[in-house]
Amino acid sequence: MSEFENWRLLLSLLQNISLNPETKDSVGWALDKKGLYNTKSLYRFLSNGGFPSRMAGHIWKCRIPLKIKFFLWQMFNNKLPVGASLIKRGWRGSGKCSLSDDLETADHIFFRFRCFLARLCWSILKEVFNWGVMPRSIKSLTETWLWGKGPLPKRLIMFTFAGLSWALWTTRNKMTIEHKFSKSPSDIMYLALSYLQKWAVLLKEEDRERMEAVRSAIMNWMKMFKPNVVPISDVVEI
Amino acid sequence: MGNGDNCRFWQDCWLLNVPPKIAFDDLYKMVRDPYVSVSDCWEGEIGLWTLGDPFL
Repeated sequence: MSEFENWRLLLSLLQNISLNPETKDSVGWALDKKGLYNTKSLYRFLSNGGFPSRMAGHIWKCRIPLKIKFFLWQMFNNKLPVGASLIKRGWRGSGKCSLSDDLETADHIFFRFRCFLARLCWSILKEVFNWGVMPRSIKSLTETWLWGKGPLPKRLIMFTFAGLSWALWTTRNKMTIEHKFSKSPSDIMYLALSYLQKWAVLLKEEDRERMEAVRSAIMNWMKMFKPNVVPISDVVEI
Repeated sequence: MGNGDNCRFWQDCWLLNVPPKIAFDDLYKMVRDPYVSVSDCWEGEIGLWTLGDPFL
């Protein structure tokens, strides 16, 4: 830009400002409307260029235990200690999923669990929520699923999603760390339902009723699904 | 911004997120008094900026 253009720009900036001889100059924190320093505004500025992350907002507002909020936040930011991430940090394990030969990534745990573990759960949610197709990755979930138009408000989709992913994660931990395998793939869904029921006390009353309807819809789908005769080890081979 | 007495026109972040001496570095080179205060550049009685003064 030429000096002259800069000069005109400076003058136009000044035009909107007038001084007030009655008051003294003061220094304020520019990232906050009130001019007061707070870590929240600085964190936003540093991590997201000043804009609050949409996903973070939905996670923090969701009525679930704090521990689960942290878990979701880690999951959406790919910060969970899954096999692939541990290897990156120099861990000497195999980094593989305990049920298959695939490298264990977050997407693998939550969406591609070989055998039906994750997929069964998603297909049930797909039916209950009337989704067109099943989500295949955390990315596709954040881009479309959580914001899709459906019978449920976003906060309850997030609530349901929190229950299912926590169930998948705790099941994964049981298998990977304690080497305990559940007897039936539907156990995960029942575990998820038990979390949802436990957390329902945190919801507002009208939402609690809506979640109750979701719960019974899921239960109905579960009754139609009878894999109990097939132990997990057999399903894995499919 | 108050009366502009305690603020340096070119050095302080009062107009933008960066000091004017950075944003308008080419103009800053031509300034006669780089440490002029904001109030020095403002004519309160007529309510106008008199930025011409600090320049040569």
